[in-house]
Amino acid sequence: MTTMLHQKPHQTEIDVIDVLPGEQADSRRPAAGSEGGVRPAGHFRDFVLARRSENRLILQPRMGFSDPALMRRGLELVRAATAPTIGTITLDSYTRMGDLEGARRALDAGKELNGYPIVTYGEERNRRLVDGLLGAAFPIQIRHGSPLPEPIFRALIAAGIEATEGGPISYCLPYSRVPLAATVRSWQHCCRMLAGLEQNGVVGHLESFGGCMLGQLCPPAMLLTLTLLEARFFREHGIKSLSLSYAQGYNEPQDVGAILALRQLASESLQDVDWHVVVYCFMGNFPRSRSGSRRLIEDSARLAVKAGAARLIVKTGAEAYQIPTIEDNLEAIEWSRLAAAQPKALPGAAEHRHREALYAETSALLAAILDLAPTVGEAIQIGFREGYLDVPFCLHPDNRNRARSWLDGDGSIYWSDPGRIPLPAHLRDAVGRPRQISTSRDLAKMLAFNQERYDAPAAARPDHSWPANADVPEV
Amino acid sequence: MKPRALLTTIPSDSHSWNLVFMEMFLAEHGFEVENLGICAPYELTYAAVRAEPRDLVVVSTVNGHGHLEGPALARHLTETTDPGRPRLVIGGKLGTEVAALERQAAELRAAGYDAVFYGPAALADFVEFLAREPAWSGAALLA
Repeated sequence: MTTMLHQKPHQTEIDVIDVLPGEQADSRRPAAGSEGGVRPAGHFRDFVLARRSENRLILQPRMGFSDPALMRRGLELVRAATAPTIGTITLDSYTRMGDLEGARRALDAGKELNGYPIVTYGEERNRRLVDGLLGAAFPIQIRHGSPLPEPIFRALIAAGIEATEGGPISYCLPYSRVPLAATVRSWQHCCRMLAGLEQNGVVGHLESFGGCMLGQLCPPAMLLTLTLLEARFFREHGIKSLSLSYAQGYNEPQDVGAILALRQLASESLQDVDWHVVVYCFMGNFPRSRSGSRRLIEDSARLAVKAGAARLIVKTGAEAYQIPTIEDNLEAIEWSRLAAAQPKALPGAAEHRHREALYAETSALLAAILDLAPTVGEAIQIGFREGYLDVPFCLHPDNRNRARSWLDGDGSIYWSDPGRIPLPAHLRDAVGRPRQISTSRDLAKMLAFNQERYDAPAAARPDHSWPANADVPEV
Repeated sequence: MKPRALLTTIPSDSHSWNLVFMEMFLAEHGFEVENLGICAPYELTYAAVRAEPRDLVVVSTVNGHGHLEGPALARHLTETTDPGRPRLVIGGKLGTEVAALERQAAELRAAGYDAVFYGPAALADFVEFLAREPAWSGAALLA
């Protein structure tokens, strides 16, 4: 990509080895949750800061079982892994959809759910699950996917867990039909609940899922804008420790540039809170071969290290076929650890070109959105209503779905049509590549890009000829 | 006039890409398409079918619950629409157990689907179905 920016990069080259302000413990920052000199504790926040200072990438699975004994065993084994790990309890889809009656019925009928039903099980059982495991040496995060998560927040807080994730945009648009106005109200309430833990001397941690929208084909500047907006929304409602996310795409220089730009933007706009960046291993159609999966997983770990992220959410070699087992997760954690431990490559010219372009594009977009209203929550809603925020291909009624993206032959993602997104004129040439309307065949090819690429060299690969796999997206 | 297709899914399915793909695919095959989006409640689908005449209703689902929620949808639509009702099809990942798919497909057909598409040949079979349906003109399909 030729850089056609008329403005200079905002900041001198950042040294990616350095930890940026906000990413490190700083006793001079009273706003990070201390009152009267006593610094409140947060298992999640303190663990991330400690590993950060040791320069070690934190690895975290996505794991959830309805059998409490199995869930407990999974957490124990993740804790015992060689790599620094954070435990995950992923909730089931009944709980995610707010269908607590459905979860109860399924459990009473002895059915296995696709995750841990934290609300239905209740406080005592939840506390037993994490008792003796959860602590400064092993934080646990609840991952859920719920647009209206009040019952989930109440349950996790009652269980003594202080870390979770999501956001009013990222858990509304891709997976629900709930109006954006309702999720904004709900998440506002939930942020306040989590922030209220401070009265008990606890700092809650909230991760934005905004860097993942639909899992693939969203131009990086939109991902960055949405996760930064969610982070600012969290902060607006009292959250003092948060993380911003970015999902691995298809082109390493673009991904590295995006994460560097994200860290730079966060350090400029989130100065009074604790924050870090979490990378998600590729969230789209996963390779079907074991060797292909492993290489994609290893690349995600190298990406996280190269771009200076603090934490990585891992995927597994079983991803294309089934809900991963504990063993699948442990194996992927170990693959990731080994890859992350390899000699670190520094970002080069290509990465920095992407960083500059994405920094300029995202900061312009973010400023335009924040200008729309006095609060972040209102600005988000106006932004989507006007089509200034627009997630390509997202079918939610509150998303205009006018903007379109294109995946280039080298795996980089561009705007093929930015719709009403207010990209500054001087950036349009750098970040857009006008195309004819793409066909279903183009779309299928783009969705299968990583699957095909990573499966390709494997000698014995399962049949996945186009277009059968076009109809089985995973997000 | 173009044949008209309604594209929908089952209430529990929050997957998007299959619907995005199928909307483009149907349009390329000559249809005017209305896409109801993810997690479509039964009532939304029923109301859309009642609202205007359609030639084809496509239920696309990949979360493995198609065999659980698909039959109710078909039974309601066959009971409440005329014999000249739109053709009704379902396709995608309909269950989680490969061994049970044939039986589940038979149950879906019995519930009222004119055709059920699953497995590696699902899309090719669907293309064949579209080509041999007299309900819409072959001319439109060449678009």
